[in-house]
Amino acid sequence: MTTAPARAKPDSAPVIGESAFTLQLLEDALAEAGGATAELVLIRQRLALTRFARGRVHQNVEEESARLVARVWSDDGRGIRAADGADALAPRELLAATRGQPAHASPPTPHLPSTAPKAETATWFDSTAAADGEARTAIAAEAIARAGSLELSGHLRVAVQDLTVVNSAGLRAHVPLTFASFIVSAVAEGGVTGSASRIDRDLARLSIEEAVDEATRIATASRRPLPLADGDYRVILDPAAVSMLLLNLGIIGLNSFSAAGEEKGSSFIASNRGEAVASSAVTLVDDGQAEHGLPVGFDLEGCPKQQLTIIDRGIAAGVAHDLETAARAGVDSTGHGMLPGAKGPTPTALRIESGSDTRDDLIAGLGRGIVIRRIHPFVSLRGGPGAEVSGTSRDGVFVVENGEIAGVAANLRWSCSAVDLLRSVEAVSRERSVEFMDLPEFFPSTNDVPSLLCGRLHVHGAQPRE
Amino acid sequence: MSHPESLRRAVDAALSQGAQHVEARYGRETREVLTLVDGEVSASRRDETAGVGVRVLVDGGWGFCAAADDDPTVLAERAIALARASSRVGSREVVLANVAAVKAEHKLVGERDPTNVSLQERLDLLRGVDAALSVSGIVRREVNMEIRREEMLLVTSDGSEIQQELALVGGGFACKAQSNGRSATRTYPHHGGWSYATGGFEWFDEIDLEGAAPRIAAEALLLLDAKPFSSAVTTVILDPMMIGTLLHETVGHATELDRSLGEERESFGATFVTSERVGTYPYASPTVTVTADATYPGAAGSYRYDAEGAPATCVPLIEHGVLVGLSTSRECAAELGQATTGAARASSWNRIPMARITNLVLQPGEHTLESLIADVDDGVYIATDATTDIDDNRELCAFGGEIGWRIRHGRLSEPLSRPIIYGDTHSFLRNCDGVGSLEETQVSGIAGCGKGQPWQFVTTGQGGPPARFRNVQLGWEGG
Repeated sequence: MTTAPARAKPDSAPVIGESAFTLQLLEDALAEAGGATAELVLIRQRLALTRFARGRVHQNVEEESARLVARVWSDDGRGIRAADGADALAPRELLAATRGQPAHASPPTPHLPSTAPKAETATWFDSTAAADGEARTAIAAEAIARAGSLELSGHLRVAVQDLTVVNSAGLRAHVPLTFASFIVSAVAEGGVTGSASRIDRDLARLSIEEAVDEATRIATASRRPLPLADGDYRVILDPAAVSMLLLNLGIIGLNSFSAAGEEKGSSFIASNRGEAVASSAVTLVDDGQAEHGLPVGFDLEGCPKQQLTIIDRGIAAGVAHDLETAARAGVDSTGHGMLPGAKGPTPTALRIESGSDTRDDLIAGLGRGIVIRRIHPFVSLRGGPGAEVSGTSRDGVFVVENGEIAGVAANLRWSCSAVDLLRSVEAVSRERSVEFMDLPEFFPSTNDVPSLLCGRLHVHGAQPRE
Repeated sequence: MSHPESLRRAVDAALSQGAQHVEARYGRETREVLTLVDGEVSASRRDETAGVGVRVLVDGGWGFCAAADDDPTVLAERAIALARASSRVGSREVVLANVAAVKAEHKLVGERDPTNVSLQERLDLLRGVDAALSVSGIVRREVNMEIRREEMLLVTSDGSEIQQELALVGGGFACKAQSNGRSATRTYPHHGGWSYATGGFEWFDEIDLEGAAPRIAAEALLLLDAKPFSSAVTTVILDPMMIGTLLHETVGHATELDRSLGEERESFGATFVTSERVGTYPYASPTVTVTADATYPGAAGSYRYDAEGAPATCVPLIEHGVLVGLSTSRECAAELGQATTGAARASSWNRIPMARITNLVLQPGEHTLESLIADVDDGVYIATDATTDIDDNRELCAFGGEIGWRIRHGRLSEPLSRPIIYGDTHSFLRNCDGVGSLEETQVSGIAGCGKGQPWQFVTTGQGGPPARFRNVQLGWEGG
């Protein structure tokens, strides 16, 4: 077995938040790359996570990492090489190593950006960066205490990041970032649950108490559920359910909101472009410059994050591009680039435009039906032109009779054509909330969405809770 | 930086500062991915990562600190601070199941270390598969290969020093048929065109991608004319890939003890399985015996030692239908007063060990695929996992295949496109009335089994022989 060489960390090694050394290192490497079309992306981050359950902190972890990804385009193709740790401070060697890789099928060389905009809002907050293990466990303790007799599971994550993108077109983009996120799930009598999550660049703005109260309120309200009879129901999907549905349709599985999905043939947006895929009440955009999207200014290829309209008053409009899908399609990048080798262009700041009704109006308008608060992230994505999907609910289903909440149903299986579901949207709530999910990729998914009143969802099977 | 001595110093430093238990773990992983699309290289990537993580237990609290290039002793000090902070919230005595101290070196790279196989040979293999898929009507071909190397050096305060080096190989293909506005995709061995194994490059000879390609391409073409299937409660026979996915979701994750204790609840949920049910709970029919076997030769979730230094084991989870075991780490095993099952895995140097699926194997029964089919008057045979979901308590679940065949009067008849079955864990497994033979057993591998926060993705193996299930809901009305 080989062990790592004893490689000293340079005295002048960069620390998060200081970039001059890094930029010079990367620029020098590019200068020696012999005029090749090349890009270097360096991500340094300190991730910390404090996790709790059963009244105690069972995990308190911190990690520091640096990851460098090199891409070089030449006449006979493209090479990618990635490394971390000490090797992340060796961009020259990494660029050279890409040449040892087999040539790609000559994709069009992308038009690399030469400038990158800064985010219009602050990306760095000292309150987040300074949160150490003591501070995080104190927050966990407060959350546990606030839940009272209900058992609480959850975690607080704090990320301090430093993103640098340089390329042979002269781009020198750098941004320091922070974010904090909190997810909590409360358990009430009979094992029913309620969950809530919050995310913000500023830990001080993270409303921990509200999240705990929301989770415990839902769990308590979900007690003593009854199985729902199979059949078609009118349904209100609350923001957490809407967000998870979008995440599965657009990002995790079908890639419907991305040119990668268009290339694979799995995007119902691309395959129905110009056609109605939703009711006219639905307008879906991705806006990485909006406050809810944890704005950065530019993506992981240094391209400005642009607002992308995916569904325009019900009509399938556009999909997200990165540099390479844009080059292949003969269009410009929309600023949705992620690290090479990941899922391709990814919209991570989705927003459905608000309607004029309140959520109470939606419930009144539902007449008889159900309210699904959240769907479980694990969804069967069968795809096709109608985007066939099936999954299960989580955290309580509320039964509505005569326009009022009348009972609680057990978690259930639902299935639908997503296109049919979106076409059946009758009303969109005025209220909205930001729902997020941690993705293994760099940017978390943060969606700002309202509740939707949909005309038909098929329900079949109730959670047995054996 | 990461020689045993530096890890020993970190362990000693943590002990001197009051730690009850310390693990210092160096890891290095390389990953090389190669993909051909329509005969041309579409992805060629090499990733490398290396670093050290130190985990400590102080006054009943855990702390873990990892970095790529810091002195392990510094990491130990920071982990101590984290552990002390943890210990102030709901502190309780933490006991770890005993593990015998061991000094060991283990290397599993197969007969032909895959990292030493030339790029040209790798490309030649993929091009051979591509050529075998190049038949009329196939409009898109994708052939994949991945070579991984994982090195671990673990030093613990129990006195263990373990060096472990594993090679992982992965590969497969997908092909898309298209005609008259219809299209169908078949993949092999798993949906998406991947499977994984531990060992050498000779694995590619064993799975014979090139040999399987003509059959899979022919099935893709066959699916173009497949009729839609009707919703029905029927008898279903699942192939080893479908069995693997079924076991992974309904048994593997459901029997992780930390999940049972609520420690995964806010993420992907809990489980209906509780430790009180071990020994009595009727999980499945008596025909079903399932093991979690980290020693299974060549399987993707095989190793010699886990990330806590415990030896890999083969543990029965379900024996003749009864829940008899759970997958554990040292901490949660001790809560049951049991030995660890050696299933504490960490996806990399920067992640903590946690109870994980290793290799799930349905033990062979008395049947063969032929005899299982022969005893079905009207049913469906489903092959190659395509879609899966399961709820937050591991109960409501659905499994979709890429292809199926209607069974009529004991024989396979017309093909079905993307059949899906759904129901709940209990009724699925309790309605199993026949399991195929040892000779028909296939244990395939996946690379993306996710769990934990921050996310951890590990390779796992799963499978067995084909098996038959009665009274299964196929498809659904109105969905």
